[in-house]
Amino acid sequence: MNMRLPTLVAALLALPAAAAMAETTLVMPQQDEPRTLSPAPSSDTGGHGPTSNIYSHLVVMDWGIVEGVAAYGDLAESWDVSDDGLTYTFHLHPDAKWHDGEPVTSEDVKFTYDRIMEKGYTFSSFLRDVDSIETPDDQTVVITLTKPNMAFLPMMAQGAQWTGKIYPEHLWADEDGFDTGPYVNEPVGSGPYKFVRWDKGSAVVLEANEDYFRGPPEVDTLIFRTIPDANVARAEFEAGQFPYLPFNYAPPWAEAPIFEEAPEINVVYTPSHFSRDLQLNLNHEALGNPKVREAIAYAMDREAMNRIAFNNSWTPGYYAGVSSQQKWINEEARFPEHDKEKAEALLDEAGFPRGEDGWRFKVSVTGPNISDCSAITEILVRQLRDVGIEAELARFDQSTWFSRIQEKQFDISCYFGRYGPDPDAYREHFSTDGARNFMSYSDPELDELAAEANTITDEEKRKEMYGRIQEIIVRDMPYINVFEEQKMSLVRPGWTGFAVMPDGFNTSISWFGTYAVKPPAE
Amino acid sequence: MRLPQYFLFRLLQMIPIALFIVVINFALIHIAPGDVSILLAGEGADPAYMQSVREAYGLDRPLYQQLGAYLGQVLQGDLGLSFRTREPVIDIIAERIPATLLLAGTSLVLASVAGVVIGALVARRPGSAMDTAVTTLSISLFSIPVFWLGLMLILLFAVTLRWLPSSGMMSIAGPREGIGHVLDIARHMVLPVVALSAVWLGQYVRLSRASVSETLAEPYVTTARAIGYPERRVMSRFALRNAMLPIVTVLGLELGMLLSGAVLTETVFSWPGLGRLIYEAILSRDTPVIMGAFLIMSFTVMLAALLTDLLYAALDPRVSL
Amino acid sequence: MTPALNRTIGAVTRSLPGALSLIILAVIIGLAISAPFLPIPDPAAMEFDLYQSPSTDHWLGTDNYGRDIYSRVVWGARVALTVALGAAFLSILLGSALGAVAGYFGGTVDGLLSRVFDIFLLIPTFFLILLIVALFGASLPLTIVAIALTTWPRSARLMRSQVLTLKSRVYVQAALAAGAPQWWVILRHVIPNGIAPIITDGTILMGMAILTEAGLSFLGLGDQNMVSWGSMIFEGQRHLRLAPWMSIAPGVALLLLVASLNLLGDQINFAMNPQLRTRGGAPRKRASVAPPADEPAPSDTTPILEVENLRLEYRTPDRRVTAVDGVSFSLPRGGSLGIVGESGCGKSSLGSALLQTMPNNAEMTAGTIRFDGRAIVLDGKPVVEKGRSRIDQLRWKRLATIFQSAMNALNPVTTVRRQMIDALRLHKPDIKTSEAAARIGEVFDMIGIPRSRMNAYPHQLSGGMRQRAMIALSLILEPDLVIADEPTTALDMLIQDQILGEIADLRARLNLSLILVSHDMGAVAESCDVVAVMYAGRIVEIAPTRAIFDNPAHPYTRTLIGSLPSLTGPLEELKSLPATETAAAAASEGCRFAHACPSATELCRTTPPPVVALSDGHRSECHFARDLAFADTREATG
Repeated sequence: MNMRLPTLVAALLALPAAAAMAETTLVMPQQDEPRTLSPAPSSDTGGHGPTSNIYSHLVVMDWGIVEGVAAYGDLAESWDVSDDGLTYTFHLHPDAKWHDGEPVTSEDVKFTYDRIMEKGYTFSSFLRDVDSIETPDDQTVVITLTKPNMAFLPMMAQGAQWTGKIYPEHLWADEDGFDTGPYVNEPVGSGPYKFVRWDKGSAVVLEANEDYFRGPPEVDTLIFRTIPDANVARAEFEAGQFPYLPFNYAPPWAEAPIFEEAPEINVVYTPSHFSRDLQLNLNHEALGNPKVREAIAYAMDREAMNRIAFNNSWTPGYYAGVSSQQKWINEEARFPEHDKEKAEALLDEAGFPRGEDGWRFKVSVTGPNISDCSAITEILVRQLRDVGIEAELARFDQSTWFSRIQEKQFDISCYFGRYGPDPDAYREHFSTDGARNFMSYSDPELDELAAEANTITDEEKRKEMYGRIQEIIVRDMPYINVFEEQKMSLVRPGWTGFAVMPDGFNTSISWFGTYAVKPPAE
Repeated sequence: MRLPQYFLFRLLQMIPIALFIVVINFALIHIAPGDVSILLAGEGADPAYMQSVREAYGLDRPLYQQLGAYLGQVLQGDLGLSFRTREPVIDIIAERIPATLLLAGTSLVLASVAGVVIGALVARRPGSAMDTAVTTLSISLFSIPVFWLGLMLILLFAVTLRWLPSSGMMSIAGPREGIGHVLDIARHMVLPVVALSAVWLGQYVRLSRASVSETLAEPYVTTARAIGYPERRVMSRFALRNAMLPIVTVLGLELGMLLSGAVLTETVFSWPGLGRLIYEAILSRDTPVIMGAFLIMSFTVMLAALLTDLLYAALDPRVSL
Repeated sequence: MTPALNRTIGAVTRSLPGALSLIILAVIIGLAISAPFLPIPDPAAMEFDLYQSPSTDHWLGTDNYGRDIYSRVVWGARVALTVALGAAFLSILLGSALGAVAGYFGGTVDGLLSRVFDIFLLIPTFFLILLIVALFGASLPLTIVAIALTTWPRSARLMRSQVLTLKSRVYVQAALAAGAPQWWVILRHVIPNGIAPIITDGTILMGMAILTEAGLSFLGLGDQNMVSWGSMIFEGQRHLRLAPWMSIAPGVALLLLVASLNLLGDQINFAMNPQLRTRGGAPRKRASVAPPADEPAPSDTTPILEVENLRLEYRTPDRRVTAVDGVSFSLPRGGSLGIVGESGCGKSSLGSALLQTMPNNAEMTAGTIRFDGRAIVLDGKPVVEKGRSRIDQLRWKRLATIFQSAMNALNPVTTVRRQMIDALRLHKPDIKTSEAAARIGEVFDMIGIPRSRMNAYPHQLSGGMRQRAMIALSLILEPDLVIADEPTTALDMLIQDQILGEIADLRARLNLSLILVSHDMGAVAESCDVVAVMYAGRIVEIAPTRAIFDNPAHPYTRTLIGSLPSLTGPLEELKSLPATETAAAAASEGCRFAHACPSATELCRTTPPPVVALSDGHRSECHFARDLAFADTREATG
């Protein structure tokens, strides 16, 4: 072995420490500094990392990576749902303890949820249908709904990862909300890591909870380091400062082959519940015509986009959904594949022949300020212009873009459609009064189906109804699916269990959890 | 006027200008399309919650009331909370200032000292081939887009040669105190400082060349030569001292322009400074941070102008305050 | 205007940087205009393999979308030039209009507008542009408007100062008197006449606009539907490791365009103000000679200064002007000589030659100067002895000077006392502080400056006091000879008289030799034994003071005496000859003064006049010197 002198010296110096080894430190880079370490009052991108490892949840969400499970228990060891779909009974883990040694009881869960509803914190929207929360004993929580809602558990499980964590009643009872008092920034939770300190502006330091009810984690010290800049994070990752570069720092897709060839780096691809799709504003003179929308679907060349923008790593989206929805997907309902002649013919048919200048009509293409949408829109504009649609880019900053599509001031927008965790998401996107129906789409049959499907407990029946909804969507094409989102993260070989990895997601507990992370075996 | 009174007078003069700047920014931000409540409520918040957020931040009130409230707050020294991070704006800005001062200050000192020396040297031989070469070179220097120069430096010294870090101000796991910390920052500073000072150097060479050659044509320089001072002393005692006056003025007045170069440099090198903060705040529509940073920056520029005037008065006995 | 324009263009194209920048600009503009007709791929077509390095197929490679970079660079030039022209035009339009209004109306309007100009200087404008473009959506027209909106004060300030000088001009006043409305006058007369320097500044403005647009695009705020160099670098930054050529080419293009615009502006500026290029500088090394071997030791009768056939030329790249053309005279120890002539006659050049403080573009082509019998200039070359030039050995200790306009001749940032101490220390390094202070006090007393004013800065003294301070400075080392160049020009008549009197008085007391250079016969008459009259580089008449006043033997001398200012009447300025005409006069075949002489004959125009010796020390260069000398003065001028 060719060991250079400095390495040798370092190795020698490390010898005394090696005795006390087994001390593992994991640095997790994150883009934002936490606002507070109390997760309930508002969503806080900087806080999710630390708080998800300090606090526990009742149930959390599986993003569909692991087959067959929509939600899995965290504090809840198991749960039963009544036949009428109105009563949920959760059985809590008997060994769960707060970091100060007190046991976690059903009262803590009730206290937390009641206060969230009382204060109207973000998570309360997932508890909208809750009629009552009861605690027959210390290990049992009974939640009763006012009406059946099949999306209740998956939605709540998903929301819990951000703002629905369980607080200790004995420490918070005297505070007015979850945003005041000594425990806001010195949290006491029941999760796998305990809070140590917060170096404002740079890092939150946690240590392993030896008494964690699932057993202590393998990493002894967990540090969430704020690194706002992607270039810095990447340089530091390459310099070996931490073993995991999350997807939000990811380099251009074109560089993936370089990383795939690098022996010191593993590339991890993670599918998600999100698609990249096009929202078409049906109020637009041309886009209001179904033939035009169909023509656009034909005009679009997903394979070319994939090659140019994503190094062929993304999955072209031909369904009205994403494959991570698994059983809910109706494979019969497909968007058409690229066919330029067909597109031109449809446009001529629709009454938009090419004018003297070669253009049929004008559309502006917008999208959120994220790199994949930028690439998709950039290429889409070219593909639309190829069939005579005078497309122009009009990109804005995130908030301007969002308020514009909300106010329906757009023609075509790239969008990140979310189909999970429960297919009830279709209602939000496509029903006439859906909060995310930016397209002004309205179909009475779909409205009815979507409203009813949410209350049906028979899964086969539900599946059929959502299958029909997908058929309607593909028939009318108020939107066109383009891609299923793919996330690219980089991991140093030997490290396992990060939430983006299939082997990590099950046991990591939540999207931000690091419980499952294991260092390389010595 | 006595110095303290003068100082006070000048500070008072800044208030209407600051007010003007606040009102312009405020007007721009609020007549522009886009809704900050989305930023506040978080992506996909429900409309009722968004409305409550609007109320909580007073965004539902008429513009003039919002402006009034903001001004009242600013007068009490409170710049509000960032929409994005909910931290006090003043803290966020204070945290970024040292980085900008370090980068811009070092570059400014390097560029102005080297620029003055080089400019003075070529001013000794106006019209010579050397003069033409240096003038052409310095014009080319300040014609370089600073961000591009930065990229090229990264390409050469960080990506290809791997001699220096390409971005950031310090290593993540580097030492946080002592000489190691200083060296770590120094290594990170090299490329951005080179980029920024190279571009500024061009300005100062030209400025100094023009100023020194102008003073060298002044009668008192001829007097000095007739008195018999050696040329080196003529240059240092007579020419340079007087040539410093316009250089100092431009230095003070162009601080605002210099800061423009800083934002681009900070972006290229991911330098955690004030310029980058403003850029990020503008992109994320973080109104309180934009307003606060503009205000602080304008005050800085005005203070620089004031200090320039004071320095000018110290250098030139003809100027009285 | 047109010849000036032609000269400017000529000068720009002749200089290497000017020609280079014009060529680069022409190439860029040519490519930009012809882009649609060039056989290059559509800059937006994503039809090639991604990330190809430069090759014969793709000169500058392809980018992350498989677009041809060369084609994008060419099309990018259109955006850059549009921004440059659009922003500069708008900015100048707005700035000139507001600047003209401010300068023209003055008063409150000016105060208010100037205040706004100042505020804009204090706003970090790039951030303001950034804010506007980010808020209202990135598009090229908006960017152009935003740049113009923040840069107009630059043109406004220039225009304001132009207008301030223009508005008192006759044609403006005439137009107003004729009843033209004010806006018309501003538009028709004021702006067109003040626009030249603003247009010149336009090239700089264009460079700024291009860099600003590039900076915005680099921050991701470029027009999304156009190819901009800045946006290309923005894209390139993400792919720096994979495809560095994506950022290299557009950056080079930016640099070339902006640098050539700036260089061009610089060259135009130089062409319009040629002195900017050559003015100042350290004295250049001149060819020197060793002292003559057979130099007689000076005796009591050796003149303090002897000048023989001194010639001095000014050289510019395209021509030479002879300012001193064969001047000879001799000044006895303790004597005083007045050199009189209108400005441009070469008297000050003669003074600077005597002191060896000529500007770098002046060259002594012939002549010998002896100080106290020792040659300091031989055949036009400075005499160097043991590595040190002789003039340096004499400076201030034996040969001092009083410059004109003491406001500028004294270092403005140093006190008078300090300047004296420094001069004293320079030549007497061992002098004690107390001795120095005593000496300065002595000189101040002698000149009549109250000791309380010793620590004053030059600007704190009145004109007369300042001139006295200059005199004090010149006497601090007790020199043998003082050359006073227009010592009283800027002063009012009473003070002039006083100071001249004092100079004469001091001369007598200290046994000084004095050369007094002046345009004023009266001043010279008062303090000098001998007067030399200079015209077009030559001494046309020299004589003892009495003789020259009683029997002026040159028509020019007569003119000078005739224009003697009286204490009661208005000061009549002699119509001076511009340097070019002086040169023309010098080159003419006959008498230099013939073209202006009231009694010139054919002989005068064809034959140079001989030197006519009239009496002891009275010489004149005129064909009719004798006639004039013995004619009645009053009759000749009447």
